[in-house]
Amino acid sequence: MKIQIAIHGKGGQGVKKAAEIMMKTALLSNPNLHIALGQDYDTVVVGGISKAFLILSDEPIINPIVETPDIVIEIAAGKKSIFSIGTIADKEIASWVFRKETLEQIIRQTFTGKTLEKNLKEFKNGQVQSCT
Amino acid sequence: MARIVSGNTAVALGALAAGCRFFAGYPITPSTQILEEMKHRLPEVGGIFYQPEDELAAIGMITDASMTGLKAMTATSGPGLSLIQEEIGRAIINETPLVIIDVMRVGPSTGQPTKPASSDINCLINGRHGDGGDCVVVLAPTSVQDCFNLTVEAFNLAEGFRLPVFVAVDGYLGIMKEKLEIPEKVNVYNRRLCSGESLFGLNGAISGFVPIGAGENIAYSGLIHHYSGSRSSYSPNDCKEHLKHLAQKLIRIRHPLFWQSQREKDYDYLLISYGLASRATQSVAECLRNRGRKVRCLDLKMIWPLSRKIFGNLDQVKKIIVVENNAGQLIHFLAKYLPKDKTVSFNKWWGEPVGTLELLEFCKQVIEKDWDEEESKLIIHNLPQTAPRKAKKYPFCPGCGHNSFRSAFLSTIKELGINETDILFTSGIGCGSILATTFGADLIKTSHGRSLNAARALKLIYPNRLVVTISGDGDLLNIGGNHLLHTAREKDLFPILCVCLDNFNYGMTGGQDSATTPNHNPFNLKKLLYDGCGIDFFARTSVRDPKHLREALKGAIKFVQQKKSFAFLQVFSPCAAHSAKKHPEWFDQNKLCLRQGIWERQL
Repeated sequence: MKIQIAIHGKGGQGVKKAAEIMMKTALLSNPNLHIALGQDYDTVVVGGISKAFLILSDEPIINPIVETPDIVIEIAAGKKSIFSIGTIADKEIASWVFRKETLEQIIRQTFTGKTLEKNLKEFKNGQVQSCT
Repeated sequence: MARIVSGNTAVALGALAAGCRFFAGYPITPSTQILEEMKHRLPEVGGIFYQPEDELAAIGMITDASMTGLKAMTATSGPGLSLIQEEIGRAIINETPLVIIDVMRVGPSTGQPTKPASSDINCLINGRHGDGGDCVVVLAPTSVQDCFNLTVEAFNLAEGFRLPVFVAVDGYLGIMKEKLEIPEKVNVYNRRLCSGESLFGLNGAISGFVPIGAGENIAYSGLIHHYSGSRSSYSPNDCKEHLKHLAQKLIRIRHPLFWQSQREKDYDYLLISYGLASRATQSVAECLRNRGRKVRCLDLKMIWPLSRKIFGNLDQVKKIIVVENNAGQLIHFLAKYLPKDKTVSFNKWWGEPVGTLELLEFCKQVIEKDWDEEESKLIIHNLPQTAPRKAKKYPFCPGCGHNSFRSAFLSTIKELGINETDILFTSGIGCGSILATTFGADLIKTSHGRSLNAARALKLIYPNRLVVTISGDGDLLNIGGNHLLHTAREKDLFPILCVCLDNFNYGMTGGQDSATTPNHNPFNLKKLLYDGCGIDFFARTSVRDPKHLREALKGAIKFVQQKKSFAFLQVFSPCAAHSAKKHPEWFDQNKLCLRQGIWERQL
């Protein structure tokens, strides 16, 4: 099983942090996972293009480059909200990586205060898709 | 112990495990993280860390530190690598062990700083002038684990063979995170000290090292020397012996430890690659094997020096594919060993890492059809006609002070009846330097630190035009400090308005200390330039006080135009991403306004 995740957003929106938290939560559920976390960003520190690429795999990862992501997460422009759109490829996503609770945990860890409440609300209303 | 770290961190950990105890470096994307890691970790093991004013100082310091017997390292990227070549030559001629990490980015000059490629290979191998300039070793890691292992090996080779060793890390690998397994025991070679033999090597034999300041006297210089240690500026024989020794040293290094290969004897296709690209090559080789092709994959960990032995017998090979994440650099060195009619080259040079699918597609074409050599050549189209691209208006972080400076500058010149497009602008590298790109005026945006050189040239050619340099504190005062002093010395020859947007740090690379960081022995620019160098106009102002800023700008422009002399403006501008976030008190206007002032000497 190999899952490739791409997160797209802007510098300062928590793209890298979200990928790190995903990586850590995935490792918590399965410490033997093989991981590759790559980045792509512009020179502008805040507000420039920022992308993170995460590969989680049972097998050793030969090429750590993500070409055809199974999950693409786009962070909505203009505000600090993550997971506004989650598109899932046809591939079956194993529940050992992303249970609904796991994503909730990710959101909890990524945001604080008002943003957290707003995101959790959206998440529970089904505006944010979970990947189970 | 396994941990998940980036390639840059793995390099730093490898250096510490290998016994590196002196690090000097200058922040540059994408290698800055190595500097940050060394800054925090090196003092813990009793090592010395120093961040000097530019890469030139860094390479000089590590070369000289190594001459005292310490294991020394620096980390840089393309533009820094171009700068440091002269000092590397000095290390080569003195047979001084050095490790230089080059985290590679795309393009010449500034290129695209955050985009990765393996594009420095030519420069690493042949960047120095003179025969013997290629007496270096270049290692290319393919994974985060390799970043650790090869950094250790780099130190061992440097210490063992007394020469500079480069670790060429792909930009993507430098910032990519993977598992790193730190072995319990790391094999470390320590430098052999001289015990009575000649001070320098002969015929490829490596002599023991004589450290500076350790008892036995030795003079290291950039001249050709006799193996006894005496300098030799004239003797052709000494020159012949010395350069021959350097070449023979390279021949001795060529051992097969540094190439990994599935040792298939029976194969039709050979895939050669190095660095991160070899990960794509390995996965493509696996795909091709699954399709029943006989493929051998050759992953060059040591890309310089090369040897025929690495490739073995190539008579039965049908095709050789050399995969590089650049426009084809190592292929020129490999060509000597590979049959020309069978070799094709896969190149990706536009700042993205090599993907499995695209490489597989290429290999399928090569293997399944007869590859037409002509197709791989660049097709040159007629140039399309385009409207000039408009500059992005506000490329700064929200809260950045530079935006406020922009509006103050525009309103001031409007008041003085000057059109911004009539001004000749120059700037360097960094956040402050980007500002000049927003005016749509003539602009020379130079290499890092060289903005005043452009301004001086323009002033000599266009004595009657207004020349304005707008740059940051790191660019003007650290790496460009020398140029600033000499421009100030020749103040009347160069009536330039020089604006330093001072945000107290290197904003673009992550907030490292610069020459004006308040808690880091900052320059007092008024004392330095106005009292010391004797320029006749100096103003210290802040974007938080627009009235004073406009007054200072107006005074400076009038001074430059009427008095025909050099004027300098230090403008405090908070860095929203780093310094003002971490130390808001530094930009407390109540304190800053006490330092504000406009000083104009009555002539």
